[in-house]
Amino acid sequence: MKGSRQDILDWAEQGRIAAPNVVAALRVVGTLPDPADWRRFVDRLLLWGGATLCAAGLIFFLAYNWQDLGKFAKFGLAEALLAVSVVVSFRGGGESPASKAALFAAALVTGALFALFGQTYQTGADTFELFAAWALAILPWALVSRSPLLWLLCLALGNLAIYYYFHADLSVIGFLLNFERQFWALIFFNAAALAIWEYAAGKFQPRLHASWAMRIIAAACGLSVTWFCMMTILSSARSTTPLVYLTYLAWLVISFVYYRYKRFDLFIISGQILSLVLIVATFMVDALFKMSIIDDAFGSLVIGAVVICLSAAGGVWLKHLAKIGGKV
Amino acid sequence: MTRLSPEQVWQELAHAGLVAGEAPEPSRSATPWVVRLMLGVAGWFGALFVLVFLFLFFKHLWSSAQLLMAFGLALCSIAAVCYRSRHRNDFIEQLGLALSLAGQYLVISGLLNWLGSRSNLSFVVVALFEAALVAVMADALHRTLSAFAAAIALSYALFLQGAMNLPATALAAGLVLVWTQEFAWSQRGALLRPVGYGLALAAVYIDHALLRGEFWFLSRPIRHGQAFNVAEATTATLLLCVISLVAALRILQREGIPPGSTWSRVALFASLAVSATSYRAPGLAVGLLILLLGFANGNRLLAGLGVLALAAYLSHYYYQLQWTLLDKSLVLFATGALLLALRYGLSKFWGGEKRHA
Repeated sequence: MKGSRQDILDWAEQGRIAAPNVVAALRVVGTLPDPADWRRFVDRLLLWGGATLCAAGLIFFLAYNWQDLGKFAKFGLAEALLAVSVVVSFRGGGESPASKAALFAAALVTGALFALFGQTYQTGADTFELFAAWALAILPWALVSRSPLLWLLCLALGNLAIYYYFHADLSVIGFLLNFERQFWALIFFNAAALAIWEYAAGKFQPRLHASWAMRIIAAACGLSVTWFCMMTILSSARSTTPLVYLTYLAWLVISFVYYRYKRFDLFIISGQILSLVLIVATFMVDALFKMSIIDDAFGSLVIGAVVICLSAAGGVWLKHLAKIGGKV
Repeated sequence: MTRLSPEQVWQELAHAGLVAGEAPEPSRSATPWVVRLMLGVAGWFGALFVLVFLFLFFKHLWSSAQLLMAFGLALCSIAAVCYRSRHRNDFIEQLGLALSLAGQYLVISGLLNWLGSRSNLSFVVVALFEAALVAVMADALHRTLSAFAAAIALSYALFLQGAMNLPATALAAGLVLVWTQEFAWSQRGALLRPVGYGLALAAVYIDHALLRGEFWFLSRPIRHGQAFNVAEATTATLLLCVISLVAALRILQREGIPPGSTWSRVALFASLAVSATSYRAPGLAVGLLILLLGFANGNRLLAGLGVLALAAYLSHYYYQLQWTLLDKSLVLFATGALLLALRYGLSKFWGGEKRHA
């Protein structure tokens, strides 16, 4: 059983627990690590830190493009590290911490190998092709290992591939044409990933139930849809404008209902409140400044006051939600 | 895992003889960090509109640095009154935050116009101003933001003096002081904890800003490609070694591990070895230190910031101009290999311990 660290520290601050007793009090309620926790922490820290730094070291080394080292030596080095990582991972059966860390290192080294291939043979491939190929290459490992970190790496690479795909055309016309399509692609990619992840974690893959990873995907999705909606409000009306507003509303309602009533998550609801405050402020900027309803200076003051009041009201409600712990 | 209610926690403590009397009335409910984050970002947006109003309404304000500072100080004073008001509530707090952020922008802009935006004196004064706000503004979110700003300003003051490694060392010293004393100075927790979080956030930011030579809040580059200063890097690394040793010794002492034990020797060796990498990669040791302090104090938020600081550093280390990618790859690979070797050694040691048990 565990108590709240915050309760103990609050009482110590009020003078109800003497300062020399604070550590003992925290130990009584189990909020400080015991020797077994320390061993696990040191073991994981050394393992994940070591594996990540070694893989990053290889990526930096290959990016240096050392001319004195032949291409076969470079390929040999990258492939040897990849082989060692994969062998270590499969010998651990995919379940041990060492196995997971080795597979993550292998996923990083795979990207370095793709980059080395492009660098050596000047394939002329675009940046998005590198990220897309990298994501596809490590997808089977993510499927087999069911590791949240590996899935997140896959999704991050997918996002990068989408971003660079729509930025391949550097002309102004290309940018304008691709601006909308890029947001649609990012929103649907991340929303689909989040929906599938939630379904899989709840249905048949409890190991995927990592709230930190789900929050990152939800934040990516929320950021894309909010930014897109803000840009749409501020730009002149187009045929797709109502569709953008509908998509924003759909995201807001569906995610709110899910994370408020089905699986309570204060982080995601806080993000929704912030998004709503920003959208209201953007609507007001558009209405007050463009239509010149009132003087610009006072318009700014009014919008500032609305942002302050809405966010404070949101804060009060969120604190209430935190207190009742998501109970309806 | 079942979570104890505050009343149950009090009973457990009373049973252990650590407290006496009736359970205290619930204090003003603590704001979860996610809500603070939302309020902080919204407060920043609110401040932006207040600034636009000032910009449009008082057009002559921007012609004089002294006027900017006076106006900014007036806004900060109103914010201080909001925070100390007897009628304080969430709306007044949010108003205070927005006014204070707008006021700080005016004061800092005035200071940089007056003393010069490339003078280290400007940043020392900004750091002192922000440190004063930490003391005056009785609010956790505001104190976190002010401590963050003070740490960044001080780092830039050092950076403008040609110091590339000392900012991370200075931050590490502040972090170790605050978080190793968190429980001993628990009665000052309302002041210390926000400062500790502000310093940890500054570590995340500085890791990328200093590596890329980006200017704080005005988004313009300062001095790209500073020459590497051997004496400064050596001093900063040695100081960081001492700071890491102090942190390790304090944690070992709290955990009741004798100084001569194997655990103690391994911990001290690892602290020294990781700190030594600071000569070429100062962000690695600082990120690891935040992670360690967070875990040791049972503070998951701080540990998370440590991971974020490490990730931010690694992703921006690539762009650091003073070292070639070959040098950097060697530092990363050697540190990674050292960590894996330490893990191998420890697993053998623990295996031996289990067999003898």
